[in-house]
Order: sequence, then structure tokens, then C-alpha cells
Amino acid sequence: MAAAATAPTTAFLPRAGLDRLLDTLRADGRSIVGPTIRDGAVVYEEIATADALPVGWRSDAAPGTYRLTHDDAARAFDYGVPVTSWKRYTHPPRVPLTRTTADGLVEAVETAVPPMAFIGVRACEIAALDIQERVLRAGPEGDVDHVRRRDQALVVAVECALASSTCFCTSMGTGPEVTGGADLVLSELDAGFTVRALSEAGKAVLSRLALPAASDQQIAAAADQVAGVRSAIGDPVPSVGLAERLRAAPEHPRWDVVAERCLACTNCTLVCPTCFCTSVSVTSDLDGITGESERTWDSCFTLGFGRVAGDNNFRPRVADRYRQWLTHKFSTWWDQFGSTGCVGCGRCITWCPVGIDVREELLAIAPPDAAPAPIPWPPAPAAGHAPGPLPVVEPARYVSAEVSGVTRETADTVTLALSTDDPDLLASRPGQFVMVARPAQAVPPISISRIRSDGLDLTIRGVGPATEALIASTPGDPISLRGPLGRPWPLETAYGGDVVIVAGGIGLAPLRPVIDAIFRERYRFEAVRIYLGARTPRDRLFVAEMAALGGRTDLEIEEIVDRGGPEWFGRVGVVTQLFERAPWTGERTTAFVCGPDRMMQATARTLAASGVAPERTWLTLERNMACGVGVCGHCQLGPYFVCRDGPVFSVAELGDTFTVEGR
Amino acid sequence: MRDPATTARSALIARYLPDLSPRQRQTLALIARDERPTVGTYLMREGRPTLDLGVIIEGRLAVRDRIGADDVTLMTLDPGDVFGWSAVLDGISTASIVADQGARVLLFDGVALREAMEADKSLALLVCRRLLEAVARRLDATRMLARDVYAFRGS
Repeated sequence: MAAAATAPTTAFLPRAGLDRLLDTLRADGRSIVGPTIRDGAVVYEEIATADALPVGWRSDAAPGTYRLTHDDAARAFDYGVPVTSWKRYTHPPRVPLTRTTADGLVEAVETAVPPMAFIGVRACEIAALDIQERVLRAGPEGDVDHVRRRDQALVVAVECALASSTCFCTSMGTGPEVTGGADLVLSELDAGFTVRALSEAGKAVLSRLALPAASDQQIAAAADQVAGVRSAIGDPVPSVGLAERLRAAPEHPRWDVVAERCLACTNCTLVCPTCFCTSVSVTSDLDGITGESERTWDSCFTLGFGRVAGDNNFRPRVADRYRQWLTHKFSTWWDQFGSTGCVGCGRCITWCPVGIDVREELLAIAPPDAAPAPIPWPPAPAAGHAPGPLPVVEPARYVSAEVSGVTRETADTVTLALSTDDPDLLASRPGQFVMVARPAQAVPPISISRIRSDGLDLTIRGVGPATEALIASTPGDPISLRGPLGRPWPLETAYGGDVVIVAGGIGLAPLRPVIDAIFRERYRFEAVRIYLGARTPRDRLFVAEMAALGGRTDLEIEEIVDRGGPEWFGRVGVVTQLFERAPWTGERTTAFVCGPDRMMQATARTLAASGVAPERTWLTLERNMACGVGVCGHCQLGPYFVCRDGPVFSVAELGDTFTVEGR
Repeated sequence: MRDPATTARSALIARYLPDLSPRQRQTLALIARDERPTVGTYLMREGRPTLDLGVIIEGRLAVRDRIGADDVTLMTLDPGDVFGWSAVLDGISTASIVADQGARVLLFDGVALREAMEADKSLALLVCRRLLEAVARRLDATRMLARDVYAFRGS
């Protein structure tokens, strides 16, 4: 949309002139996308003429039902909202991402995006487009495909003349009046349309149409019409304080009740105009060497959405997923994007096969008269975590690296030494990660386990096809990297105090750069204590390095294994045993912790008992980090995207989102 | 008149049960033995009556269980750890306790301890609270291990 005009004018477009409007829009090379009838429903599709519009059709929508009826009325926009939303055109269901190059690397694919004009956009849908802008353009990494599509789209809004029983735009503050965000605004009357221009582009179109001014009666009729819609909808979900009430109810019994009805079919998220979650799928050629990847719509209701390596799943129950969806839409979206994630279009109600009405659920879980409860997590990430700006990385920008060394650490874990001259990668900081691409394989996020002057080390455990392929690499193999990504460990906050490092299993990998950094500037820190846990002696990482550290006099290092065996003469048990009765006190201690979630929870509790403040207990979380920049939605945790806002968090930042199953 | 060894044991007891009164510490000191078992010494054997409640003062002990033909170390215990709580219940040892490196332990005779606890409910409460803390910690550790086995195959 172009810049807003200061004084919109109101013209009148006779009904017979609708094709003139479409032709004028098309004259700029745009394709026209608007409402039409397909498969018994109104959908948005490319249309050629006004004849394709749903003239005379009305939709009767209710929870779980949708019916079209036809009458002799000449109106073209009396159908409520279509099944599909504009995100099909601004954030398409499938977008090619990468392909294999001739030299075995991975490169981004750029797709041609035609200019479009959207006709029939409702007020709630304009709000949805605005929310998409906040998510896909204004984040730390703009979505290139979305930005191109949106920048070229001209928006022709049509104010609602009728309300569906599922509408609640009034509660969400998004309609029914169109007050901005469009280039042209139409209000449909029996004889034609009042037309207002809200942007320079809209004014230009209006000027070319050379329409007469609308009469005062026509303008008043249009205003009365939309006022009637507002009155008909009322305020079904009082939204003042809704975000706070909802986030204060994570244990409400209603989550389980609604989960018994919810089929987790994903309909609600697919018809939602603001849901933006995606996954990346990789298609391999028969040679198994080359392939392409594409981004497709996904849903937080699918079982696999919260799944990570090793078949672990952070949201295994439908109740967890419903809570995640609803809480995100109406509460934590504010933390992430400064707005609600719902525009009140009602599609999720209409197209839910079992008729779950989100308005009823909100009123049951977070009723307006509910007493405010303590918010179980802080409202925003703590300031000052990252001491400097992080490199900006386009979502599909890969740089090449080469495997220069392979070290087998354990039976299933390998450290790859990668050489690269990419300045961003060489400027990586402890705690950051990279997305690692091999042709024809999924792209896993891998923590950096050493930052060298000529490259990076990645320590990878083979837990699936992609990581198995990576650990099978040999020196000379090309590898494509995207990064560095994520917030690093805040080492500088430990200057002048004691440091405790606690690692469980492969959790030592992202902590190794911390150890390196500490010993490069050992004078900055007081006592340094390292506690290492592993399943068995054979699962220990960097054994020689850690043994060498044991010889130093300026640190304490202890290790323990879950299961010893005859060759093991060290401690047996869990890692917290190493420091639960340690003589040191934690008042001046900063802790850096990485391992399985349960191990980190126990470690955080034990450290707290030793006096280490939650603000100084830092963890790095594992989640399904598919995009690495917070736009695919997989790694959401409370108000955070783990890849974008983490993966390093303090215990204070996480609050109880870290300790409750299913978050 | 207390002998120096009893006084020393009383001081050790105070380290681990600081809430005891001097008289209660004296009671426990009189039924305690301060021992330094050599590596490999079985302090308790799985399936046998638990005769003593123990606290590790120095070094390390191993909790072992018979699995097949082998004694497998399930866990090692460090200074401050309590073992042999079945002695308070007149029970049977569910695992063996074996001395590891440089172990020094305080052992409380189970029969005498039970009598002392019967006679002094406040002592019983303090001892039981200390035991419950130890049991809870051990259960936490066991739960972590179980979760490691069942839930976190990927980490």
C-alpha cells in the first residue's frame, strides 16, 4: 500500500461500473484477486470480470456450519468472510526456498511475484494484513517473499453490510469500519458503491475512473449500514485485560474439556488470516545428492509441530496444543508483535468441524470478571542480554564452508571442523547456532561448539537422517551454513564473579565456547567450576580436553555418569549430585547450563538452593528451530521464540514456562 | 565426663544435624562409630538386615545392586550423604553399600538409634526430617535417571 492520503474523497461508482474499476486496476499490470464461488463456498481467487463476483449470494455461518443462499439481490459483497483469506496471496501455502548448486552447495531460490490487486478486503482482513506485516516484515528477519508480495499489492476494501453470527471484529477492535490500511474503500449500496481513497495509489485509481462525487445521502446510507453491523455484532468477547487473564490461566480445567472435542484437524489455523506457522520440506532427487526445499503452511495443532530430534515432543497432548494456540493468539502475541493475533473474523469458528467457538472458550477460561492472577512469566525479555547488535541474516542466505576435520567423540557423535572465511560466521559468539544444510537433507540447527579464527566446530549427534548425513561427512565435503543465529551466552555478566558451568551429555557442545572464552580471559573471572554429566563413560564428550582442564589449578572440574560399568572409577548418579552440597555459595556466581530439560530444571533448583539468582542462571533450550529467525512458529515457548529470543535464557526470564510440561 | 572420641563424634554430628540440642548430640555420639573402611568393604549387603544408619564424612561410597552375576554401581555417595535408612525401620537393605576412595563414615547402631528416637520424639523428628530430605534427594535423582531413559533419547 502506498502512503496514506490526508483527505480522502468519496465518489460514487454505479454498479455497472464495477468492471471499469477492475480494468483500471488491471491496467497497471496487476492480476485481480477477489471473491468468487467455488465448491459451495466463497473463496478468494483470481477473477477476470465482475461477473465472477458472488452476486446475490449470502453466507449463513455458525459454529461448525456454513451455507450459501442465493436471492435476487444485485449485491456482490453480502457474503460475510470467505473460507480462504488473503494470506494465500501474501504468505502462500508453498514457497520454494532452496535448490542444490552444481558444486554441491545449497542456494536460495527467488520466485517471481506478480503485482496483485485485492478486491473485497474486509476491515478485519485489513487488520490481518497489518498483523502479517508485524510478523513477516518487521521482525528481525524480514520474509523476502512476503515483503515483495505485499509491496506490490493494492488493497480495495469493502465495508461489511451484514454481520455473520460468528463475527467478533468489534471485540478485537478491527472492524467493521475501514479506517485505514486500504488504498480504496468501497461501501456497497443497492445502486452501486461509495468509494474513498485512503492512499496516493488509491487516489490515482479514483482519478482515472473520473467518478462523480457521492451524495450526502449515499455517504450517510453507507455509514448507517456499517453502524448497523457494529450494533448487530455487539461485544461478544470483552478484550480489555483478556491477554493478562488468559496467560494467568495455564492450568484451567477447560483446556482438557475443549481438548476432548478438538480433533486437532488444523482447520482453524489454516483458515485463520494471521496464523503464519510453516515447515520446510526437502525433496531429494533420485540421486540422493541434489534436491529442493520449500516452505509450506503448518499448524501448531499437528503432533509433529513440537517434535524435536530423538522423537521428543514438547506438546504431545491436544490440550497443550489448544492452550498454545489460544494463548498465543490472544495473549503472548502481544509480547512478540505488539498486537493481538486475532482479528475476530470468525473463520476458526465456522470451519471447526465440531463447532468449537473460540468466543465461548475465552469466556470460560478467561472471563471478564476473573481476578487478575500473577503472570507466570515476565512480559518481555530482559533488556541488556545481548551486548551488541547481532548479525542480520536473510532466512534463506547460505554461505559455503568446507569440512576440514572430523573427530569422532562417541559412537553416535562427531565433531566437524568447518573452514570458512565468512566474516559473520567467524564473528559467532558462544551460545549461537547455525542452520546446517546438505543437499537433499533437512536443515537442522546445530550449536557451535568452537569458534576458531578460520572456522567453526560443530558437534553433532546422529539422531535422524539429516544429522546422520552430517556426521558421515569427510574432509573436503562442502556444507552450507546459515547463521550465526540466536542470542549468545551473556558472558560479560559474569565478569568479576564466580562461574559455574553445568553440562549434561551433548549439552557440553554449546558450552565449550564458553569454556574457551573464559580461559582466553581468565583474569576476568574469579572461581570457575565445571560439572559434567553423561549417560555412560563412553558418552562423554571432549574427553582429552576435559582431562587437560582437570590438570589446571585455576578451576574445579568434576564429572559423573548415569551408568558406570567396570571400567569407570568415578562418580555415578546425576549431575546435580556434584554440587548440591558444594561448599561454595552462589551470591556472586553466574551459571551456564545446558542439557536435557529435566536435567536443567533440576540444576536450576539446586543452583537456586546454593544462592545462584535466577537472573544469573542461564540455560540454552532445545526446541524445533526450523527457520532459525522466529517466523516459522515451531519454537514458540510462552512469549518467546526460542530461536529468535534465545536459545539462551535466564531462569528468571523463563518463569514457569520452563517447568510445566506441554508449554 | 566425655571422652575425646565421643566429643569428636558429637562435633561431626553437629555438622549434619545442626538443630540437635547438645544432649541429643551426646546421645547420638554415644551410639555412633567413626570408621574408615578400606576400599571394597561392604558396609551393608543387599537383602540382609540393615544394622546401622550411616553418614559419609569423607570420601565416597558406592550403592550397588546385584544385576545378573554382577554387582553394578547404581550411584555413588559423597560427604553429607546418608545411607542405611532401613536401620530406622528395622528393615532389610535394598542395595549394598561399598566403601570407595578414602571413605570415612559415622555409623549409628540401628537398635540403639530406634530406642533413642522412641525415648526422645524431638530427636526422632529431627532425624526423620533429615532422612526424608535424603530420600527425597535420592528419589529426585532416580526420577531424573528414569526420565533420561524414557523421555530424552535425543539429548
